[in-house]
Amino acid sequence: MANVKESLEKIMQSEGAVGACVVDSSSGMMLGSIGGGAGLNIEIAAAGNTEVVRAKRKTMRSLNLNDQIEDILITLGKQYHIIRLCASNDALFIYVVLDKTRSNLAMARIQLGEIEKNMQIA
Amino acid sequence: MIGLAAGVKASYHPLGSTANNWNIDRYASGDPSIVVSARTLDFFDQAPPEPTAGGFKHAAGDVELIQRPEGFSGAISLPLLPDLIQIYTVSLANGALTIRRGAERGTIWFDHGEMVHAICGEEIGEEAVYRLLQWHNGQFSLDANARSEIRSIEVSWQNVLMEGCRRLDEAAKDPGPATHALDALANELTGLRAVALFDAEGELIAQKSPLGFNLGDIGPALLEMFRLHAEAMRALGGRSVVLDCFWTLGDQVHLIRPLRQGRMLHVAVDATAAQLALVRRAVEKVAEELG
Amino acid sequence: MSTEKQLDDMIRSIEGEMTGFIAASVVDLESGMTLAARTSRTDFDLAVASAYNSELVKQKLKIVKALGLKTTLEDMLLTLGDQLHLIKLFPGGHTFLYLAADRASTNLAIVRNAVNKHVATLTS
Repeated sequence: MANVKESLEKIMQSEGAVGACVVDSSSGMMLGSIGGGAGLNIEIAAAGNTEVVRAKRKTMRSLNLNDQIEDILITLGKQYHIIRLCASNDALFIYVVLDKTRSNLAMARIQLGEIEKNMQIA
Repeated sequence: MIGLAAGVKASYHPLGSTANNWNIDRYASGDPSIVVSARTLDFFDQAPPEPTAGGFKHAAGDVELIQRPEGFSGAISLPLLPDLIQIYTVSLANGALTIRRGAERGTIWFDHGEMVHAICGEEIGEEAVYRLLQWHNGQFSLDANARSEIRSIEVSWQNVLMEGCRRLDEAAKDPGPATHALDALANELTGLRAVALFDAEGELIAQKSPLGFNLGDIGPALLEMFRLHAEAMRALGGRSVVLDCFWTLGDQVHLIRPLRQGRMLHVAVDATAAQLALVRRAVEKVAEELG
Repeated sequence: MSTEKQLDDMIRSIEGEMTGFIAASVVDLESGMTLAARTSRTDFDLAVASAYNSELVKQKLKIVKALGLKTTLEDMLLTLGDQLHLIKLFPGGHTFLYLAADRASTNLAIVRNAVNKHVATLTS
């Protein structure tokens, strides 16, 4: 089992990872973050993506879909964004930004799934 | 005024031929009635019945369908158990109220609105009711036909509820469980300056100050702050409940969180704003433990 | 010293960065009077809210002082059942921004980021 910091460090080892954070969707605030920089304001991204998760959940509820979100994949021109919901605590999610040219979305998705399963929030 | 279900043979909404709109009380008696609880716990755990010509088959036997346009049925949800009990006492109800929480169960028998008998775990009588009052959640259902021959509660329901609430208040002020929860918080939050738990009068119940920072005297000031806030909300015509209150002060963060029984938890952490979520989560866990 | 127009523009910018905006005002701490205000709901009496909030802020500053803290209060975030309230103190400590938002349409982090960004632009 790895903690938040260790998990985020492991995510950054993925080829093409630009930044990542673990977010509490009840407040939109981050439990931890890594990477980012001039091109990516991780804090704003975390807050905004919280609304993406909440909206998706709301839609599922109104459709009476009795199912769980595992992840949300967003393809942009230059980046991939992956939002991975934490199975152990549905208020939390991991948000990862990948450079499209340097990363393999399928690989990143699987690796992220493993990291999420292995992550333990204190 | 909500009465109590003596039991209906069935109340069936003729909206379709499927079993979706049924609401059945298996304890048939034939009197017209108002069903307060939409479900009988065990009954609804079973599969829906198959329709027959005049009604449907159920494990308990054949149930005849009678259309009953009068009466109310529904599931209700209340924040506090005393409120639920009062519905039955004030409406002079008869029957057995069963409350289920996970694998635990408790039952209170009413006779014309008086609580006459109760069991919960190994407790019987008033002690059983006091035990149930400590639960913060659960599912309930009323068996309107159940009667108790045993009379384990002699005092009035008002006395039982008052004593039950008094015990809850006392327990809330007990520093023992509080100290344990605060210790756990101190272990989890590095940079914790202090955490203090105050009661509904602003008196300190317990405090932990790993960095020697004393929060102990500000209870009354916090009370005043919540009072001002409540007044403001009333003036605005709202009734919003404060869930938590965060102060950012440069190098430290304070989180104040109201708990049940009017208590207040105040946490001061050496942290930048970037760590607000961690503080919040750690405090959530403590708040859950303290109830 | 900002003009009313500048304060008004600042509030509009904050509103533009978020959904769920209910109301915002810039308030003089000492008097409780509003210097600029904007509300999207007719049932929200912003003048009353602002006056109460200045009492609340004063109360909090008293607590900070009683605790012997040297650092100044920067902001306060209140999570209510259905709303988020944020109070951001301007440098100097004589004025603050009060913002109310609908919890169902936004979150604490969005509100905080939007306010910090635009208050900084104005007060830097």
